[in-house]
Amino acid sequence: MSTNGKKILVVDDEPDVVKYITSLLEDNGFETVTACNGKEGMETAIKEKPDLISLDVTMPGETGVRMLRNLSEHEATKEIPVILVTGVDFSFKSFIEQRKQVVPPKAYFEKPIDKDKLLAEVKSLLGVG
Amino acid sequence: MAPYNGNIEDFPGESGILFEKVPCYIAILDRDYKIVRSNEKLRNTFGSCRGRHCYDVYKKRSVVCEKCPTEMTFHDGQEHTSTHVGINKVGDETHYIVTTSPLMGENGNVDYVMEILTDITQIKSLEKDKLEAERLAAVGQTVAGLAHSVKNILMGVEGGMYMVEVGINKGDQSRTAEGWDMLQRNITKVSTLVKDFLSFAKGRKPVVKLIDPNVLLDDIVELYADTASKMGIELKKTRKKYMASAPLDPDAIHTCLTNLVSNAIDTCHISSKDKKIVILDAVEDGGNITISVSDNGSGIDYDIQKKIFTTFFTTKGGNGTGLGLLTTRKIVQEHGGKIEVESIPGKGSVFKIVLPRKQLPVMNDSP
Ligand SMILES: Nc1ncnc2c1ncn2[C@@H]1O[C@H](COP(=O)(O)OP(=O)(O)OP(=O)(O)O)[C@@H](O)[C@H]1O
Ligand SMILES: [Mg+2]
Repeated sequence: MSTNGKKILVVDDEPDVVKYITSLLEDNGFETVTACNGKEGMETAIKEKPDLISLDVTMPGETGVRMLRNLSEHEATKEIPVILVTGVDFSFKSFIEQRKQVVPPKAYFEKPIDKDKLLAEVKSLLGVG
Repeated sequence: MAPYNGNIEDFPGESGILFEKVPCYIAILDRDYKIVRSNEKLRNTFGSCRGRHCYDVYKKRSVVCEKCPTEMTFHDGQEHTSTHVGINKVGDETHYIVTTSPLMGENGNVDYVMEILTDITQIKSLEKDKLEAERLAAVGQTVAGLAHSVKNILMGVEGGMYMVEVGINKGDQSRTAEGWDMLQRNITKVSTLVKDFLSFAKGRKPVVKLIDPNVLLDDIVELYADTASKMGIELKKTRKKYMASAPLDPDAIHTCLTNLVSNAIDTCHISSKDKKIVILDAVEDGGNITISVSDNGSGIDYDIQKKIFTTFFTTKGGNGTGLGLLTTRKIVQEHGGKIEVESIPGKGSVFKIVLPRKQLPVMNDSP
């Protein structure tokens, strides 16, 4: 697999969700880093410069929406593609697309995720596989 | 007050018409609590009165009521007001507020007491409807929130299944074990969530008993002090203040205190303060019983304070259902009281349950 070296940041406040997504990605040859809230997520994104970010929307402290905005406003992170993984239902998709301050994410996945679709989306966004 | 000239049988002219026709219940009682005069509305609602004891007419009791306002007026010559639940002539619950006024004879003694009763049955039932409507609205919000929690948990379950599957395929024991843990953890979460939700949605009929609130506080300290102390948190009660027993639903108040204390312990647990402390207190002042739970944890930001009771709300991610305070508020309201919070971000919070004695529930077993 030509996924070598591609690094993905997984941000979610649920340790089991983080465990699931990272295992899935690592089993498919990706490298992962994790964060459990938006603030930590932002710091990790700047430091680790991941190739892609998987982000939960409803987290305590700084929410995913806020982090999405911060990412798009920061030089070092604004080009990184983001996948939203969310427990919120799909009407949220139209909500966030209407927000002018927020660059819409590249893809949405509703929890619980379809793991094959998630992998396919990740690979196509990173142009690998 | 009706003109009293020593002759209780007769109020002349207009005052006589007024006495008969006013839209409230009026009765005049002698020192034996016998009704010597009553107006039309009273007789229509409670049945014939003449010569009967007031406690028999209003409440179908055979002895004088506790804290009888008429007794007090005979005793001190002052007006008294209180709220009661009676039974009308067709056997329906009738709520009323009674005000008792002295009718003094020439010697300045209280010869008779006049009772004026205002029927508040309708208001009471409106209040009940409103509580019910609020409960249903809260249930609705909760269902939306619940769907969200369930999705997170499902994701954990799928994660567990994935780990187990990969573990088995690769013959990797530790993976399988890890996956199994994830499964168990998330199944436990579902069952807790469902239990909490059901007890919230069902709404139980309160079981009211006369109890000293201090006893409930003692129980809580007894139950949780050990656990708290293992987490480095001191859970204690302030010095006990005397308080008369009150009609409360002990299990329900116990639930409230458990919720408040577990929130206080949660916030202390993540605080970095040296001395972490949670204090329970109960005082009575001006007819209000106030039970409070104070902590020196994180405190609550102002915009968060606005949300903690009204919406399905938690800052604890998957570890909180956000039902604790909602349930607590519901129970407190069912006791005729209210819950208040004072909090200074960074310093800590005080949650107060304020229960006006006058509005406490009526004992189930006495009329
Ligand atoms: N003593 C407290 N100090 C700081 N924050 C508090 C305190 N009590 C409540 N809160 C805040 O209010 C929120 C709602 O509390 P509530 O008890 O309703 O739900 P929860 O504690 O999150 O979940 P659960 O009670 O199901 O465990 C909490 O998540 C927390 O943010
Ligand atoms: Mg709680």
